Amino acid sequence: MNKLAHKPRGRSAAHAARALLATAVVVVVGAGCPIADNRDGIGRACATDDACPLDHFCALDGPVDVADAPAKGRCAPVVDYGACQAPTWPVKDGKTLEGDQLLTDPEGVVALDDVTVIDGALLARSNKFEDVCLFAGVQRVAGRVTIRNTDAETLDGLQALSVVEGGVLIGLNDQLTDVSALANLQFVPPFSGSDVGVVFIDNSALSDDAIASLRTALEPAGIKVTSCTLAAVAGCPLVALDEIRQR
Amino acid sequence: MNLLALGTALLVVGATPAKPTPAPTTTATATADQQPEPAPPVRARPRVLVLDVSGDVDKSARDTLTALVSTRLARFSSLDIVTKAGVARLIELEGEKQATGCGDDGACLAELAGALDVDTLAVATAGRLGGTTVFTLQLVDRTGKTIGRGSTQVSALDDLGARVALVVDDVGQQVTGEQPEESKVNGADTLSPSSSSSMKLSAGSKTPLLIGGGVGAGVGAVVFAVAVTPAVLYAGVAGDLRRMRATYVDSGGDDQLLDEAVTKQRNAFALQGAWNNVGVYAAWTGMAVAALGGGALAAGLLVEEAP
Repeated sequence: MNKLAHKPRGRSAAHAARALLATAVVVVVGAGCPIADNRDGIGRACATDDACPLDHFCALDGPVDVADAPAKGRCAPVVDYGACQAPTWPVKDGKTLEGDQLLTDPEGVVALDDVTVIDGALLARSNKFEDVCLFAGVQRVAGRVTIRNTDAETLDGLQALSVVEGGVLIGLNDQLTDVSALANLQFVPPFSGSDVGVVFIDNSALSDDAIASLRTALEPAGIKVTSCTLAAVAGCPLVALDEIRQR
Repeated sequence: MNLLALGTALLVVGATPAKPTPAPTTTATATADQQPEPAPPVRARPRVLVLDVSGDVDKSARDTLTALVSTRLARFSSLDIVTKAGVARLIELEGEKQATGCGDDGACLAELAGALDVDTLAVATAGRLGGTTVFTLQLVDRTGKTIGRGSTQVSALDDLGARVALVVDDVGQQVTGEQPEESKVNGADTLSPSSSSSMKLSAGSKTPLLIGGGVGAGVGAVVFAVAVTPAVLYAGVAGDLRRMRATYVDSGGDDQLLDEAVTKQRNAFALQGAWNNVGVYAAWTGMAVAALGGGALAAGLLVEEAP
């Protein structure tokens, strides 16, 4: 009987001690220190001109017309980076890289670490690129994203890419078979003189099914996808073809 | 040890004038030829004369130890402590002392103590032995028998007081079989290690201090508790967001979770603002007020009030 009577008291004492400890932690660690903005990014407000913390992308509230931009959205964590490693954890704000990034060799490129915004164009052009994991943090590109002449088999690493203001051009990547990483794109204005925002040109291993899947995925965002070859250019914007033809 | 022998002799000779004794004679042996008298009745409180601590430590230390022995022995209610100073007060005037041929020396005072019918002598020495100070205390009855004994040794004089106090308590318990009273002074100089503070609150200030301290501590605690509430709630919301993220990833991107997270983020943002802009300052203020109030309360509870 006594044991039964003592048990709750011991438990309440343990609770009290725990509460006291928690209070002490709050007092010692928390009291007097402002809360840093380091909580998880899920559900935070973002916009086409404002990126989320690293490891997230900006899910816009609906299809955005160019005239409506900048548009608002909310940050969503990247679910899966495929073959690439997630950039960082815990959550932290990324950096902005000014100017065009024209990369011909992935070796030694460290400038893109923790970068979420490129305030210019992004071009990867070399068969030295066997993947594009280098861009895993990038969410917004103020210019065009061009991936060409690489040996990449997938576009894993572009899962956080959600806003590309100059269109997406993927061309002459002979090994490329999987483009599902682009499914998080939210806002890509069309190339001039056309209504498509994402263009695939002469990616010989890329199946129509893969392109169709991406087309379906981007449809709710109002982003149009097209594919062509240099021999059969129908449907592809002229400006994209011109760029691919440049050596 | 000379003092012990002398004191014992004095007790035997001087304090028991009715009994002839084989002890070395001094001036007190004048009583040796007197007619036998009945033994003095056993007193309820034996009278103990504390002799000056002897030895080769410096005089101020010896004085302090003498006072300490007196004070600690006085805490035994069954002992009636008579100090050398007390004996001196009994003969009252230096002139009178001179007139009786009695100076400040221990032998003379002990003789007087015998005349005062002292039952026990407390004889203590404090001497240096290499780097160690050795303190011994013996209580000797009027027959010359040691009825209590204790000693201690320390390497640092700073520790001596506390160790001596323990020895005196131990010897006192050997003799009386009782525990010392904690706060008894009994007319002896107060040198107890446990009663070192002489700070007192001014008269009439204790009650306001207690009330003010209590109110301050209470108000400060309440202000602090209210102030930290946003921070505590924020911690909860931040934890929810972490869990939602994990669930979102596991579900492969459930948009409904995203909607819930938007609400949580708004709450978190508001709580963060409440803490960073107001709570943090209020918490500091509350802590300061509670600390001041607590200090006042502690002072009111622990420090005595002047009469």
